[in-house]
Amino acid sequence: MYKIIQSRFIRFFLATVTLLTIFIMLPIYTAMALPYGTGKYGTCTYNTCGITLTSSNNISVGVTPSDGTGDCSINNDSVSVLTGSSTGYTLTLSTNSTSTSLSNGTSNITAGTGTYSSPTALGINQWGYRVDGVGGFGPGPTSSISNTAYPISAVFAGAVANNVPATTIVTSSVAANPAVTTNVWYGVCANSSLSTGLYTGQILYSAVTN
Amino acid sequence: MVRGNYFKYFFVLSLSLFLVIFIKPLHAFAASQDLTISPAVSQIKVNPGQSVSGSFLIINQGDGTYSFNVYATPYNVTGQDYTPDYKAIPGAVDVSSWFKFSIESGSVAPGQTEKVNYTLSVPAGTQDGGYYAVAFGQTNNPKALIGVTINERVGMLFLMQVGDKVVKKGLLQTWQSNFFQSPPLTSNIKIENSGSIYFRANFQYKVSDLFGNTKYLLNGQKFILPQTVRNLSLPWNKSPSFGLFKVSGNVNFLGKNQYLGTKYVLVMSKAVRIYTGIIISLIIVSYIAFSLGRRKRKKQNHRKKRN
Repeated sequence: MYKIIQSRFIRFFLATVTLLTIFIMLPIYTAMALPYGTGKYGTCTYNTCGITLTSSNNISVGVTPSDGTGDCSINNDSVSVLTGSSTGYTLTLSTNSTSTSLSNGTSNITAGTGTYSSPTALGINQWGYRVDGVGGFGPGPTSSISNTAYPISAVFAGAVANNVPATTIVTSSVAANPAVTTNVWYGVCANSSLSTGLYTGQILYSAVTN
Repeated sequence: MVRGNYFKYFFVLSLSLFLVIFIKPLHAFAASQDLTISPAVSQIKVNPGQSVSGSFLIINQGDGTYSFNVYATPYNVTGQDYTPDYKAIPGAVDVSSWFKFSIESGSVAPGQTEKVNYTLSVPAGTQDGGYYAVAFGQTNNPKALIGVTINERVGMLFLMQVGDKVVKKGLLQTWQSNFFQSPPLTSNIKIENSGSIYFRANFQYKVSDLFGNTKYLLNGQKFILPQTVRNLSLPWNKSPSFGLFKVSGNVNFLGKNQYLGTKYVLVMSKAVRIYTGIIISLIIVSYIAFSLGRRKRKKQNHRKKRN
């Protein structure tokens, strides 16, 4: 009986070692076979390169609260930066005024209390932004939703006003050519305690070479 | 025959499980507005009391007409990651007041370019040193009736040396790459500027495998502002989920070339760490079972001999 167990153990051990060997060598071999990744000097000198920023004109994030508890919606803006400057670029986000709220007369949807480093779930009658995979937002993926019951699990940051340093959402050490696109997600949660109407706000993206 | 089938079954099962889990990519592995400013950077040397002129272009490569504004702001950075700050520092010279633009607002149609001339006048008596500003072109979309209105601005960075009495001084502070990392493999270079004027640092960063094959090569440049330390974070975004690599490179600034010594990095994603832990645990358990079995066999043999 012992010989049976011993021979089985030896085979099991050999199988485990084989597995481990393959487990270690295959990734290394695969890494050897990976395509060559290069960073090059930009096709222009840093004195002649331009920088291009592309985004939407307007993002609509409509919420129609069905009851007092509230509902949430999320929509996204694709922001692209193109530059041949080998110093790379920094993309920042802030509101375009000293206000951080979405406003409808005297009624406001305030900015979420989370930050880029420590985003939080939106409270009721709050709005914010998130970018998958950076800061404290987590990997996502985020998707658009419309009138989903409050609360939602995604975490957001409140946009800062334009009279304080803007928040860096993307920075690059190399040229962005082809353009690098960042999806910025905007979320709003609201309930029927808010006045009915159209709430608006302004966001400002800034792109400058490093 | 039963034992042989058991072994084959186990081996095939293990290999199949391995293939299912691991034979997948192991390496990690947007009406719009389109605003361009060109050039993106300008380096200028000017003496106190003198003026210098130049121009830049505002280009609309999008599909809609938009209004724009042109204005200048100071340029500062905070932290070693160089978070930009376009606000004037209390008590510091407001460099934005040195600028005058031929166009401060306008409109540009799709495919059109607007040339903006600027005059930079440095006040007499300005202390020699480095001064930094950004000239922005900003879209001026009317506030939408609903939702979030997006405005964007692109900036031309001005790196200015005023006068000749400047001190250029800096050093490579650290070169760091942790041995044990999750993907992406990331290294860091910190460069200190202890002078009174900015300088440009060129760097080359290389990732290679144990056999010396280059897997990733990055050449870049960065401006280092005076009295700051700049952290250059260099991620290899396509690094695999598991692998042992060598990282090295060099940095060149202020006429000196400094070699970044080779460091080894073991990249393991969370999933790989879990699987490795399981396999190592199995091996340990197997060894313990084998040792116990051998000890028991020795005792049995000893008893037989006594009997």
